[in-house]
Amino acid sequence: MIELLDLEKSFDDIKAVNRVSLNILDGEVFGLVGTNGAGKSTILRIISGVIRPDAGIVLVDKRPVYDNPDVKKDIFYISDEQYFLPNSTPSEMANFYENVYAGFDKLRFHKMCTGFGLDPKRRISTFSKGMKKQLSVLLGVCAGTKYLLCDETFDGLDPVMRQAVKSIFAAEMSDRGLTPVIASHNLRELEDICDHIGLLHQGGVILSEDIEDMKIRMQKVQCVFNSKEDEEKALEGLDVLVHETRGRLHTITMRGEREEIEAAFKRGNPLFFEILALSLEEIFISETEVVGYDIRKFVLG
Amino acid sequence: MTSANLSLGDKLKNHRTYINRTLWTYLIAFPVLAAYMILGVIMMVSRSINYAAVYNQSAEVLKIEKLKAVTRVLGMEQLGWAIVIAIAAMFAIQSFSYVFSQSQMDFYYSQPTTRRGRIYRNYRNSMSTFMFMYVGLEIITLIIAAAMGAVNGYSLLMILIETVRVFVLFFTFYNITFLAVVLSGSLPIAIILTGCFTFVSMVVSKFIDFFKEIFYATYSNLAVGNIHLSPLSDRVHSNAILYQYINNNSDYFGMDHIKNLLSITVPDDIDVLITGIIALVFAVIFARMRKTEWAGKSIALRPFRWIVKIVVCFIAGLGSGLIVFLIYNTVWNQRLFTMMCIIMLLATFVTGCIVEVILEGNIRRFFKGIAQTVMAMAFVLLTFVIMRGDLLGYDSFVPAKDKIKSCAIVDGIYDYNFYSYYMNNNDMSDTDMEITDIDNFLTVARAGMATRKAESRLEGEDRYDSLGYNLTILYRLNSGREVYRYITVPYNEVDDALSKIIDSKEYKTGHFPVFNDDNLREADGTGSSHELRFSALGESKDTRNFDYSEFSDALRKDILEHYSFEYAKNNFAIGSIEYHNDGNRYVGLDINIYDNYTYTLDLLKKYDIYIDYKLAPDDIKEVRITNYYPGHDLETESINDIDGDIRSSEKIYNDAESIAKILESSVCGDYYNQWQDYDELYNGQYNIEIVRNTENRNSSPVYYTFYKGKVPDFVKEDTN
Repeated sequence: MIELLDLEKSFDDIKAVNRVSLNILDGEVFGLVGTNGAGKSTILRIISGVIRPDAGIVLVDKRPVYDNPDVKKDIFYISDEQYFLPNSTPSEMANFYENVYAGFDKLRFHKMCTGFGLDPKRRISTFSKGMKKQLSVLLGVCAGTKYLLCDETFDGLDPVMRQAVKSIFAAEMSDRGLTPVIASHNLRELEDICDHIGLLHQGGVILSEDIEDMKIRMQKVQCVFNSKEDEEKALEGLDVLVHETRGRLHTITMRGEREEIEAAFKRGNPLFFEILALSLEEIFISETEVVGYDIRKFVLG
Repeated sequence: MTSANLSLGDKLKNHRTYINRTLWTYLIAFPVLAAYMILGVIMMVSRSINYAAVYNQSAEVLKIEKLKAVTRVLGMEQLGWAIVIAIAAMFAIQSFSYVFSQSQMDFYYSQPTTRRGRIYRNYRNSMSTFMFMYVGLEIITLIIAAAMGAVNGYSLLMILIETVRVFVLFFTFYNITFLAVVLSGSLPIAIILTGCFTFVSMVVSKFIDFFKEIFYATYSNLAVGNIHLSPLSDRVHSNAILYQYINNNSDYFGMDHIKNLLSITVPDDIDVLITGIIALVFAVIFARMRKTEWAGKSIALRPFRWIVKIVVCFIAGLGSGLIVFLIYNTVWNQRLFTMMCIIMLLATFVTGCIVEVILEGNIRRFFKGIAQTVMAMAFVLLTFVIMRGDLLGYDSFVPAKDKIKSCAIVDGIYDYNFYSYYMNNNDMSDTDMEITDIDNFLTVARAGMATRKAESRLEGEDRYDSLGYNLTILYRLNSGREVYRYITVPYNEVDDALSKIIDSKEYKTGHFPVFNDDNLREADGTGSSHELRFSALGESKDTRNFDYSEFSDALRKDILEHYSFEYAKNNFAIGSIEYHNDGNRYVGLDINIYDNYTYTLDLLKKYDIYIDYKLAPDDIKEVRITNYYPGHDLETESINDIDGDIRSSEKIYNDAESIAKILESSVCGDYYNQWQDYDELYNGQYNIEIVRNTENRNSSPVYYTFYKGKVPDFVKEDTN
């Protein structure tokens, strides 16, 4: 488990990370979402031991990470701008990582390269941006580490490749308990990958929730009432987050489990009642609007 | 299969790939070094073989020349160290330049290693790569040299010593560049910093020397400031001395020779090593302090950035002062010191503004960071005030008697010169003379310091009066420090003390290198063409049939028995003797002879090159007298008070009577005499050119000068 407690990091006058506390549980896919400059990369760098925080605690499996090779053996960090040894090939990078990570599986790497259509003998400098990202992911997966930190790694991957990577992650999580931590500036990129989302803005955490929990605990209802009194009866005691009305059609987003909501609306005897599926985007919009943010401006593109 | 099962072979193979990718500059360094070593040795040895064939050198001489050829490329006097410095800088930049790139730091720092471990790994890779490369090429080169018969035990030992020196040099320059890299945030700044670290102590030391010369009356240019913590200067310095030593010594291959070479190089090499260790310590400290986010900044560590700015401004301020001095050097006076100070302060200020712009990469920062600029200006002003006011007492410094081990009077009349391969004619007094009569020496020195300061003050007022004998003195202190001062020993004031020093055996044996001419005696014995020439009264005679040792012995006896301060003060030399030997190495001497040098004069007679130095009137064809200041009398007026252009006047005398009177009141001034007060004894207003009867003679004019107060009236009338 990765634990961040009151983490702070400033670059000159800029507060990049401001009292961030997060817990990343083993075996889940954790998504860090935020705009450019929100502090995602800084947090990943702190977790991977690249930079030392000004204040706060970072523990990976209860151990401090900075300048601690024993902990770093369990972490593979894929930077936003991937670096490869000058003039090297995927095969040479594999040789390099073979000496760095004891669990690096070169045979598997070559197989996966073939599967992804990457030539292990070709100079990486001739690869496209997307190919370099694929290569980074393959190297990271084959390193055999417990944690895989990906900074904007999925941005720009085509849907087929994203699906393939997702499958690999799923297999790795299932086989050896891999915990991917994925940072992105776009919530939609992470929607179908992550189990847990941490939403960052201006260095701080706005929200950190398990996606399934959020989906269970939040409902979106479309309904039509006979009268104002019926509406009041139905909504009495409910935690309404967003309430929009078009003519007589109400669209209401509220906290609460499905059964609880259905029971409440029966009291109002609506003419029309339907519980809709909430997208991750809608959940986040609802949650963050409550605390005064409009995340459409900064994470939905 | 995971990497936990990697074989040693695979690990080595991976390591080689890693080196190829991360330290690829060795692929450039290797052929350059190979060309220098292998081609250098082959070419130098084959050149020796060809030379021997053309000039019929013996096998023994050829063997020595071949050994020399190899040691010139690989030995202690080699020039390959310049390549080594370049390689060290390249390797260090390549090893640590990842700190300039965020993506590279992400890559390396996220791997399971510590920062210290990464530094150590890079360090080890660079060192081992260089060592393998250098030693490998050296072995190949030596095998080739051995096949050409150009190696022996001594040359191997010299090459081994040089290999150690090269590693020390590599270590030091690697660390200096490493330090520059960890203190900066971008490659250009790192390169500039490396240059600064390399040259800063040399520049500061030279500036201090220049400023001492400008401000201090008693500064001697023999007192070259020691440059510490400058490996480049150390290497250049030791190589210069090595060249000189090697070219002045024929016994080239032997343990004594190697010991002597080591005694030359070890002090400099220790300085190189100390510099390297200091650089390494600071580099490690700053590397640990360095933050990842410093990448891309010019100099991120604020205190160091301030130091850099202050030092650069300070040096620029001093440099501008130096430029002012060089421009106005010939017309320097008190007023110019004020101008110099103002220009130094202005230059410091402008430099501060420019440095700020460069460090920040922003033209709008021109007038920012004023605090450091003001601090640099304060340092410049303080330096100026300290030196101008001599607040450190440089011009008054006379060591305490109990702190002095020995003294010497270093320069003087150039009477004896050894011309080495590089045409040096060093005065050897600083090594050969050890005066222990400290009391009298200090008496002379104190008077000399005071008079020199008075003379300097007059010079500031454009008055150039000679107040005494100009000498450079040397104190050798018990601490090992050597202190040089340029002084003016006042005429007549301390003659007793000066006489005791000049008449002492310590002075004579140290001042006249004829007492330390073992090399010359040896060279003369083996030389094929030597010549001795006596010149007097514009005539000269020479001979090749003489024995140098016999001549040297006679000269030694004359100097010890007949040379004295009192005699030299009151008598001109009558002629000079020149000796030269054009053998394997040109050597020669030029010494003035006094009329009381009876042993030497007898020897000249024996060699049949003696010339009668007494001029008879009937031996003279004409006397041409030039009056440089007609209408004036310099015996009653000061030359400093005469303004405007004055055209000289001439008068030629042919009659015996006039010539006789002129000869009675004048003396031959062809031979400079250090211990005479020319202004007091002679009249410099007139020049007497004597043209002798040329029948059966091959002579040139002789120049005489009038005694003061004895210029014949008819001369005054004829030329004024």
